[in-house]
Amino acid sequence: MKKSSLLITLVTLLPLVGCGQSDNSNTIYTSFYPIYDLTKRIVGDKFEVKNLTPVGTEPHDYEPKASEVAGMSDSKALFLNGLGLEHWEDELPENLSKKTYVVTEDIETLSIDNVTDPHVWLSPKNAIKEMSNILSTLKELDVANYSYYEDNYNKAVTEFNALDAEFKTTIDGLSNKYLVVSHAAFGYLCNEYGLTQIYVRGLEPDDEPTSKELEAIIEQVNTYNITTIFYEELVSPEISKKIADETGVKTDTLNPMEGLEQEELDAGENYLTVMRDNLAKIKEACK
Amino acid sequence: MLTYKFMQIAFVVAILLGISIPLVGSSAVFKRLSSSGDALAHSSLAGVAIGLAAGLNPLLISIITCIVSFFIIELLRKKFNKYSEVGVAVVLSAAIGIAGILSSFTSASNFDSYLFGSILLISDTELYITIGLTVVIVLFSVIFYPQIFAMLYSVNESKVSGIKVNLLTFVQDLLLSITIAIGAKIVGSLVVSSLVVLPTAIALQMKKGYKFTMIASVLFSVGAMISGLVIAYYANLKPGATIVTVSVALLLLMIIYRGILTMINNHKLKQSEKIKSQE
Repeated sequence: MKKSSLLITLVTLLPLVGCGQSDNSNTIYTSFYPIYDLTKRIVGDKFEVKNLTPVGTEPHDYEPKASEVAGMSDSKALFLNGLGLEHWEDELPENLSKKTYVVTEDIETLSIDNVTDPHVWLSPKNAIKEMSNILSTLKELDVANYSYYEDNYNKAVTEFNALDAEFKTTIDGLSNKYLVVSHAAFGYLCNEYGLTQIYVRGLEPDDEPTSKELEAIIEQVNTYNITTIFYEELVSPEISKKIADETGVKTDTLNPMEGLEQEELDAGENYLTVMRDNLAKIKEACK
Repeated sequence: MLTYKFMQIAFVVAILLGISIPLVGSSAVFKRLSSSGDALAHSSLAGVAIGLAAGLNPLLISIITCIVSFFIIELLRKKFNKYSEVGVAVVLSAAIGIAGILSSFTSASNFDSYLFGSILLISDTELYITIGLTVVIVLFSVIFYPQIFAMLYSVNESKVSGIKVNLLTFVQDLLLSITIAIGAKIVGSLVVSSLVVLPTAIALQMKKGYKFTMIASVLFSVGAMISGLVIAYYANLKPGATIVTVSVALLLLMIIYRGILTMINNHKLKQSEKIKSQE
C-alpha cells in the first residue's frame, strides 16, 4: 500500500516538479537527524541543510511526502544513510539518483540476524568517517569553498575524537559489559567499546514479541545482573517495561538518535550532547 | 511455561477475553454485522490518534469513537437496508483515513503501542480493566438472558411483551464498542476483531439452539485463546496471530466435520430408502 501510494503521488506530481515557489538550489536534504547534524557541522552556512524525517518520527516509519520529493528534485544534493534504512530510496524518481549521496560509504558494517545493521552513526569513529565522506562530496559540489569545509571538518574531528576517548576510558572502567536495549540499534557502539547488547527487538523496532523471546531476555537480565533496561523515546516502551516489571530492575531511556524531540532541539541538543548523555546513562547502569 | 508472571497474566486475560468477547460479539453476528468488529477496531485506532493529537486520554477517546462508529454503522445499516454491510465499509474507510492522517501528527511510539497490543505485554491496570469488563458483560448476559433471547426471536413480540428493546440493544452495542476499544489496546485489533466473529461462527456450525450456541462460542473462544497461547509458546510464534489462526482452523475443522456428518446421514437415508424399496 505504501509503495503504490507513493508512486501515485509521484506520478501526479511530476509535471509540477520545477515549478516550486521556493528556490531549493542551495539546499542539501538529509534523510534523518544524525546525517543532518553531521552535514551541518561541515557545511556551516554555505548551504541550507533540511532534514526530511520530521521531529518525533522513527526513520523506519518515515516516507517522503510529494512536496518533499519535489523539493529534493530542485535541491543541490540528497544525503542518505543507506544500508537499507531509507526503504523509500528505490522509489525516488530517476533524476534524483544523480544527486543522491550515501554518507556511510567505506564504513565496515555489522550484521544482525543476517541483515546489515544500518545504525552506523552510533559509533563516534563511524561518525568521523561519515563526515569525511560528506567532505569529499562537498569538494565535488562546491570546490570553491573547500578550505572552509576542511576547517569545519578538522574542528569537528577534534571534538569527535575527544568524545571517542571519553567513551573508551569510561567504558573500560565499567564492571558490567552488558547493555539491554529495546531495539538492536547499538551494535556499532557496543562493538567499538567492548560492550554486548542484549536486544528486545531486532533491527526493526515494532513487532509483537514471542513468549520465548521475552523469556530469553528475562533470563539474560537475571544472569548478567542487569540493573537497567533501556528503551528509546520513539519506540513503544511496553516490552521494556514488562521485562523490568518481571525482573525488578529500572528502566531508562537511551537515545539512538534516530530523531530528536522538539524540546531537545530547542534545548540545543546535538550529536555530541546526546552521546555524552547516553554515556552517562551507560555508566550509571553498568557500574 | 508459567514460570514468569507475564505468561500467567496472559493466560488469565486469554480466559477473561475468551469469555467476554464472544458474549458481546454474537449480537453483531446475529445482526449480520460480522465485519463491524474490524471496523470498530480501526475506529478505536482513529480514536487513539485523535486522543494523542489532541493531548487527551487516548483510551477514553478510542472508547468514545468506537461507540460513535457503532451507532453510525447502525444508522447506515437502517439507511441502506438490504446492503447492511455498506455502513461497516464506510466506517472502516473513514477510520483508516482519519487514523492515517492524524498518526503523522503524533509520536509513532505511542501509536504503535495501540496498534500492536500484545497479550504478553499486559500491564496491571489493563488486567484490572479486563476483569471489570468481563464481570459486567457476564452479569449482563446472564441477567438479561431471557430478554435478549426473546428479542433475537422476534423484536416486535418482545416489544409487545414489554421488553425495552431499544434500551437493551443500546446497552449491547455499547458493551461491544467498549470491549473492542479496550481489547484493541490490550491484545491488538487483530485478535479482537476475529474473536468477535469466529467463535460464534464455529458454534453456529453445530446448529443447536441459542443458549447452546452462546455457551459453545465461549468454550471455543477460550479454547482457541489457550491453545493459541500454548502453541505459540512451544513453536516460538507470535501469540496474537497464532490465536487467530487456531480459531480459523477450528472453524474449518467444524465445517469439515459437519460435511462428513451430513454425508453419513445422506448415506444412511439412501440405504434405508433402498431397504424400504426392496421390501
